[in-house]
Amino acid sequence: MFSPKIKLPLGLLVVLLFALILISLQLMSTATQESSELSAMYSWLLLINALGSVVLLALIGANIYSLTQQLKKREAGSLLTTRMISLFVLLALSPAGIVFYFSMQFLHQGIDSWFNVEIDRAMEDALELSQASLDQRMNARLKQTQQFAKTLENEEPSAITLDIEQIRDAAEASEMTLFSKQGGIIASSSLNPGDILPYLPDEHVWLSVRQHQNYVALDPVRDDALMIQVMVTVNAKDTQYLQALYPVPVRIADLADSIEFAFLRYQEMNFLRNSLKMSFSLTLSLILLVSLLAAIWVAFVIIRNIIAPVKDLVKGTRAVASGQYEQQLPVTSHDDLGFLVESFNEMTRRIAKARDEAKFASFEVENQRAYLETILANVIAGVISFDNSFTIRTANQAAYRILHIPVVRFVGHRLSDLYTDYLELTELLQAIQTLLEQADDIWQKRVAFLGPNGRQELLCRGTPLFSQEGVRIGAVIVFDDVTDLIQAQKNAAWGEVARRLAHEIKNPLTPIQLSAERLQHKLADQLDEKSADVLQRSTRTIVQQVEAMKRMVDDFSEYAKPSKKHLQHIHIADLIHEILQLYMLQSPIVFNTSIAADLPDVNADPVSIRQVLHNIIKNALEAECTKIDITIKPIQRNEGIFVELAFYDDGLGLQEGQLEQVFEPYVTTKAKGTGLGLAIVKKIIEEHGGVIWIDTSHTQGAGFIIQLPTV
Amino acid sequence: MPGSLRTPELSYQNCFVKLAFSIGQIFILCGCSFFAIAVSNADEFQTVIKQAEVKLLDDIYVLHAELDFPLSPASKEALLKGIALSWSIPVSIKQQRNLLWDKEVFSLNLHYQIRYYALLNIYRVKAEHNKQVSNFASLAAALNSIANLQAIPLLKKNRLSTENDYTVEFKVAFDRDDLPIPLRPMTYFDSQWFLSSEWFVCSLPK
Repeated sequence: MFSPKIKLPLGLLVVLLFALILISLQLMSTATQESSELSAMYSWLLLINALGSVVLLALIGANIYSLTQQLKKREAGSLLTTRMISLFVLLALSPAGIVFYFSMQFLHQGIDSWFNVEIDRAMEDALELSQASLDQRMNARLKQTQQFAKTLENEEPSAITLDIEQIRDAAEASEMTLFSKQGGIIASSSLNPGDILPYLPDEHVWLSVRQHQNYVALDPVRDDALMIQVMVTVNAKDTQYLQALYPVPVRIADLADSIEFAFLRYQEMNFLRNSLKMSFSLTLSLILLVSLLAAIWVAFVIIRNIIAPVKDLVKGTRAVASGQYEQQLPVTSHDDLGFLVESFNEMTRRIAKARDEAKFASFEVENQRAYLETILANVIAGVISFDNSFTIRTANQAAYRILHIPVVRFVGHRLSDLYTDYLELTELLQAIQTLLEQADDIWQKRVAFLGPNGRQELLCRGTPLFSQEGVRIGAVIVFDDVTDLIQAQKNAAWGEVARRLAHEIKNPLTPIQLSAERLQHKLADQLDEKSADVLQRSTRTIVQQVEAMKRMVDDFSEYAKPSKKHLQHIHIADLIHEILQLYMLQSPIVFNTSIAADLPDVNADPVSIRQVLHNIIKNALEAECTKIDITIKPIQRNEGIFVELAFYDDGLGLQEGQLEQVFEPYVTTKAKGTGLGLAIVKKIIEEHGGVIWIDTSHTQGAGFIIQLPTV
Repeated sequence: MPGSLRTPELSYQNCFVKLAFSIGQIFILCGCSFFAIAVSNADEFQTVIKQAEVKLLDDIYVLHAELDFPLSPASKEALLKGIALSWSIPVSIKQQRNLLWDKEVFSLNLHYQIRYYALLNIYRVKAEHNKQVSNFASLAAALNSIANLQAIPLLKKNRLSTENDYTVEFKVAFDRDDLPIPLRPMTYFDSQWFLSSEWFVCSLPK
């Protein structure tokens, strides 16, 4: 069953504590008065209050220890708590100490003032006077009793019994008794008829009277009434003893009692002077101690309660500083500190909300950035962005694929930093930089350069970037590799031209040839020998040239026509060996081959590949080379494994101006030749999905590199 | 904040705390030492039960005891200055039990007070338990009257079971609470006021 914990309010607890202390101290203070009913419990009350002090001291000790530990750990609020406690203790102790000191001074001086030598002497003199007065009375009674004893000396015992009453009356005694030597009662007379037995003297009285013949003393006999007890010896035949009790007059007795009481009281007080001082000092000290300790302990509790919100605030501030914005502090009061705590909570809520919004915005930005990055990574066009100082900021994967350089590694560098590592791109990069620097609006330009895979043509579009305030903050260029597109356009154009040309030219060639042959046939017999010879030579020339034109048109038509391919898995090395065997038999050229052992197969048309190899070797032969180095190896490219064939001859090589056009149709340096050889080679390679380019680093002749995709 | 740094406030607070602890320790040590010294000298003026026995007299158990009251100089001076000295003699008969604590079957408290009267120069002994008052000319005689306890009646024999064992316990306890209040606190620490005797225990004769 759930039972809620009842927590009393602090104020009520403090009030209860002080009430308890007050009651305890009041009881102890009351018990210090002798007349009080609590005087018998003084020791217990003192002990209870002392224990209370010890308990309070222990509580304070525990609090001090706890505070010390907090100080060592540098916990929030510990310094402030210590400062406040120290201040409170100082403020409490100072006036209390001063009051205590002077109270003790007054107390001791007050008590000392009760006693002085004059009072001492006066009390002693009063007592002495009382004793002298009583002594005088006692002596008189003694003499009187002795006189009466003399009268009984010669009396008969029987007469004494009758006379003792009269003697008692005459003596004004309250009781008179005659004892025998052995202590037996011979006769007795008492003023009070109810007293059956006379007052019997004590042993010391008998001793005294036997030694000194008489005895006189004041004695508080029955009912504490003061009596003069006299006992004298009666010198009769047998020794007898006469005891008489004479009452002291009430007034005298009262005065004597009063003086004795006062004297004893004064003596007692004098004796207890130091004890009194110590007792009152102890009581006062205990009262001060209990009050102070209670106040200090309550101060600990109250200060801790006051500091608690500050502590929470410090902890909360530390948490916020470490990034925990969800921290909410409990509001335990509705004062200034409570307002501070509420304000803190509101502040952290707002910070947390702002943080969440910033986080969300950052997340959105990151998503957008990732989205854009994904798009940029997957676009075919290369995109490079620059800042205001033309330092590369971003570059996508396509830029690397198109330019064949890891542009991403140059992020943070200027374009000019790429020149040093990639000299072949210097012209392109310089052109781009010039456009970037000069352009104030969108620009577009087609730039050609010789890349590692041969001549490349890029369609570049760029634009400067401006901030919302219109300040230039950078630029971006987008470039597409249109090399293949342009080449395809060229090939298509050439193919169309070839087709049309072939059709238009070839048609008149046959009639021309036929007409020339007819002329030869018809006129040969009708002309003289000289003219017939001229006719024959002319006709032969016409026919030969027509044949040559037909062959040219056929070659052109062949180039333009898409080739029929019968693809199969072929081992390039075997094909190379087969073709080289033919050339070795026919020409003195030295063929140096380096073929990798683990060469994969390629999926190609062997007829087309043979044509490629023939055309390249034929070109080398026509360039007057003496040797051809052929290297075949597998190579890893982004798209997969390719077979790379490299042909290096030591012939005349290619001129600088030809490099860009060497694979164009009808580009030749030879007097004879259609200029279609390398164009056909390029066409075939590209139809097989490969690439071919000139290795411009080989300057001792011509160098061709072919890469074909493997199976 | 580097762990080796100590602010001036922190050093000051630590000094204050250490001082408070030291003062507390010294205070407790002094109190305990003072009390220990007092207790160690406690037997010098202790009342001594020289001899005591319980006898059966006419089927009534009676107590005979011979005591010795070696009053200390402080207590004598207090007496001469008019302060009454009181002793209580609690007597109890307990039935011995094996499993539980002993059961008290009889108890009696004798109370004696000695006071000096300066005017009459006498020592008055008052027995509170039977209201008997005796006056003596000397302190020794007064003390002697208390010291010899003769035939103090306790309990009738037929009120006790013959099957059980009984013990008689008594002591002479000095009544500090009868002293004037200012004198009481110091009597707990001054060995001159340790005037009580030890417990005397004997078996009840069957």
